[in-house]
Amino acid sequence: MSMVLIPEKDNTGNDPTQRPELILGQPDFAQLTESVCRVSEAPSPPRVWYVALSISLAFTIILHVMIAYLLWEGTGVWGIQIPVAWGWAIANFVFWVGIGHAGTLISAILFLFRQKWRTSINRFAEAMTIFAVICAAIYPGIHIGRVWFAYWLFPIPNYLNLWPQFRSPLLWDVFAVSTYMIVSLLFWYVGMVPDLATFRDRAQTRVRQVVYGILALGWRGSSRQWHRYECAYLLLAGLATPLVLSVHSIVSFDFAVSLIPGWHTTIFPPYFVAGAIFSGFAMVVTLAIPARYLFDLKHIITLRHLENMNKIILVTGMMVGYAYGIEFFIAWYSGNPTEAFVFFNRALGPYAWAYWTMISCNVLIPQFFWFKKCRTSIWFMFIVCIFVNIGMWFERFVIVVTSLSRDFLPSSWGYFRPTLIDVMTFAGTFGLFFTLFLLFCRFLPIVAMAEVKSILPKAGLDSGPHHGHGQYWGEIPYQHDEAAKEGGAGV
Amino acid sequence: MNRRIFMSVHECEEDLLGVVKAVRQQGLKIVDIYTPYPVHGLDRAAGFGPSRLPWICFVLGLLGAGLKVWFEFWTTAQDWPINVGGKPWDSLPAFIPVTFEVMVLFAGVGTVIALFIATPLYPGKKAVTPFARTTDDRFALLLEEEDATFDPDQVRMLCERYNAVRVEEREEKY
Amino acid sequence: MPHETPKELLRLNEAAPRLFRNACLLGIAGLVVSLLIAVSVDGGVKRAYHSYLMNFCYFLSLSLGGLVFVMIQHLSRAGWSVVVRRISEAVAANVLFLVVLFVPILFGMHHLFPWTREELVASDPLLQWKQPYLNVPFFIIRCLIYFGVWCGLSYFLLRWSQEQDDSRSPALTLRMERWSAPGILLFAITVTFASFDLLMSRDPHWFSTIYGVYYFGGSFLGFVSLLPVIFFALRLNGYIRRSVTAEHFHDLGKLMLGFTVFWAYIAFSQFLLIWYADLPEETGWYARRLEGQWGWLSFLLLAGHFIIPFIGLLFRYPKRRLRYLAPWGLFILVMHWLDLYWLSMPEFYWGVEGADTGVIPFHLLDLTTLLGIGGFFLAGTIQWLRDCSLIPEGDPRLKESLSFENA
Repeated sequence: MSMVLIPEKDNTGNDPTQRPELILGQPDFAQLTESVCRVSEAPSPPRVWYVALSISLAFTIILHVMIAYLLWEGTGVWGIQIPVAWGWAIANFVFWVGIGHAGTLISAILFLFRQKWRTSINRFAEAMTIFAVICAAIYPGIHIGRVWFAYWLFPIPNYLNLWPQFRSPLLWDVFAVSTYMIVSLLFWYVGMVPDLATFRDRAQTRVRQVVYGILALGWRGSSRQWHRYECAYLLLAGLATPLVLSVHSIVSFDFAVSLIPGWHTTIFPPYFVAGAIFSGFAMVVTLAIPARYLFDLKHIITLRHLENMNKIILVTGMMVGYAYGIEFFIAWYSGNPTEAFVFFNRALGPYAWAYWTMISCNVLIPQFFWFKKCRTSIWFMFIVCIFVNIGMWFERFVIVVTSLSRDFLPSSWGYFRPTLIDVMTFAGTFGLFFTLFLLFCRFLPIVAMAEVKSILPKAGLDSGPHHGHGQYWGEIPYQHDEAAKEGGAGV
Repeated sequence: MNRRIFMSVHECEEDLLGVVKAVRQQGLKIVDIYTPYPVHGLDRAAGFGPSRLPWICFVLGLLGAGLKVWFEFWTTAQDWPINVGGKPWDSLPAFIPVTFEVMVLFAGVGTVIALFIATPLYPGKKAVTPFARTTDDRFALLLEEEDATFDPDQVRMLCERYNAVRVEEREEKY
Repeated sequence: MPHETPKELLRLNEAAPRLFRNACLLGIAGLVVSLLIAVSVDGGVKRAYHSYLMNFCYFLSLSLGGLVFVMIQHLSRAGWSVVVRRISEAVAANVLFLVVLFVPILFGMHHLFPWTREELVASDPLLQWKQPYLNVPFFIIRCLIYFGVWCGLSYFLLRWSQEQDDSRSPALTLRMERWSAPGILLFAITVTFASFDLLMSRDPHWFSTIYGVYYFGGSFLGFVSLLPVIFFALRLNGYIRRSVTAEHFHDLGKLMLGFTVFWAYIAFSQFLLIWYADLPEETGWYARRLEGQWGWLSFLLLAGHFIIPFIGLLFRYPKRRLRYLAPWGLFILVMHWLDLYWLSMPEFYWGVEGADTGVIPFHLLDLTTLLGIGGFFLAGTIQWLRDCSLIPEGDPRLKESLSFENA
């Protein structure tokens, strides 16, 4: 692919005396609007987009066929069998929900931490979140077998007068994932409203005027609107932050409240959250690299953005590695023979190949990101992130299958094998995911324009480079005394 | 009824903040200010008080959590108690995850609805922007010419001091 | 005001020796009184050791919270926190004094850690299984490693930062940043195992993989709550009244709020999983903490360590005003102390036949050792700040920090 040969402008330097440029080429507001809007306004998207969309659509069709077949025949078409009744369906569910964590992390947690670089990537990361959660939500729905009773998951009064069992972690999951879906969707949409208004006001065709006009809800960008909007956005970020943590914690409860050795361990909630962020960021990088080439956004999603994400991947990868290590240590330290057996079996038993794939992809390969050369090489990071995606899928596979396939009763031990239907369904969800993502790229604002504008140097939020050395004392810009007084200068 | 609107258009937020402070000092009535992105410090310059949305969020969150705890208790311990794994009827620790989710759901959805009502935003609402580029790269300040004391020429000069790129007056129905 | 020389007191100067002396006297008095009580009361030595270890872990947690706070600021290249970093560095470097205070614990291990008592080990297969890890020589080696890592990191991070006051060299910022990355990794591993060794192994049957994260969460919360208290005290005496503003307190308040929730999240995760599975090998630990008076303490922690400070710090108003934030800091510090008490003290009865385990074994020694170690902790902080500015004057991001505003 020749496009990678275009030289990257390196803005990853680290000079503590000044803050780096986040958006390259010093665009003014209009140029920025133009470079984002043309993705959608161009008469036709790049040819690669059509190719990718056709492939994705083909896989989406496969997904539908597989689901139809499953519903017709029953869950026996999968490789699941007692005691491995969870198999790929739950591993894939956790995999997709995990990927769905990066978007809200970027939009909420990095917002609260005032990480300005988030503005370039938050929009499409949030979109990715929603599409990943859609893919995830398919699995528990079809895994229950009789999907026409799926509404029993919700507390709807029925003729049996039965209620869902609120003590069951599987029900907590229903609430967690649906809440996460709704709040992420709102967060994404509320964030998009000002940009949709920009689309509306630039629209040249009647169709675009009407469609974006409806979607923009009559946004005017008046200061009174912005005032409340910013407040609401902050509140949503404050709510979404614990929500992100809670969702994957609750997913981990599915496993950890049980008595199954290898599942029942207290580190699970934070460990799952770290793993989710880890896999989510890997997916964001995997998508960002082609998207920035395809839609010519290299000056907005710069090398620095990618490097920052790679650092987060390194940190969260280490957290995951930490959890693997602590689990192993406590499995021995606890003196519980079944617990020790499960971990011994993971590393040296029939699934050792999966376990060591997971360790290599999740713990060893990200270690390359200690080196700046690796963090800033597009090709290299792309490969590492693909490995992380693979590794995180294997993590869920290892957790689900190794523990279940070695039941307390050795007579029921076996070796889990997925069927072709399992594989095709999983491949199909990737088709759905990429279809939605490609449509999003073409029809919605792929970058949060209003937010990026607010961090352009022209916006004046950046106080510009700091002055030279030795001058700090002469001109310390003490806060206006108002703030000092508020803080209680006189105590 | 008609009113006369005076509009001044600027290219960057520093000029806008300057002109907003200046017209407020002169006691002129600001109709509205249009910006392509949330300008930091404009709330203070334009004299807006803090938003009441946090209270709505807080109260709805409490309400959601309270209702959910009650509902879980009622369904699990009162309406149809079922023994699951020997857990107590009123398994409060097991109710907390769902309670938290419902709290976030109520608070989040409620905040967005409150925002849409207060702003106001809804599908089909006609957008009234002074001109299209305020959602792109222009900052517009709209003043109301309340009475005869409003001197357009003097205000025009004031705005031009802050690099206004366009100044115009128009009649508006309201 | 651009060229006005700020009237800002940024050095302790002549106040330092007096403060240092008083703090040392407090420390000595606390420890001497503890010693007197210990030798004069029946079973007092054992009781004193339990109080001592618990209070040691308390102050250790504050230092470690400071250390990780400093490293995170370097790693994230934070601008806002520069003005609060020097104090944090000094608090972190207190680990060097805590090493000395750790020595007595080594002589009382048989009072504190059941796995060191041969008669217990001989009759307990589980303790025998754990012998390869839980044995005295390995314990000492591990402690040497922990303290080595902490002392090295905190000492150099403070020294380089002080060096920068004069040299103003951005290269030092880069150096601190570079060392913080492996530093945090080492920190995570050492803190986890230190919490296993010093606290979890006091009940050598029990285990929890999240324990290290729990101790870390409390430590970080304790430290960010300590900062407003320190600033209150400094301001009361006329120091740093202008550099650190409402904006910085606002951020510290947010961290206090955030980590109050984080602590609750970790505590709840641990509790829920153990409560739900209800395995005898794990629930015993909670059963002891929900029995008799301990149950009241548990509920007090639920209210005081989470619900009350959460509501108290939720809104903007108290976070931006030091006169409200500092009392909240103090409140959380008290709760953090009770949390460590709750973690540590139920094991006072471990292996004791016929003890009334439902009674909280509160003793005056808990407070005297608190004052003793606390006095030295305070003295250490003052000692580190004796000859340097109270804010990192040479930091290239100082200006950004001074003019920082919450958007």
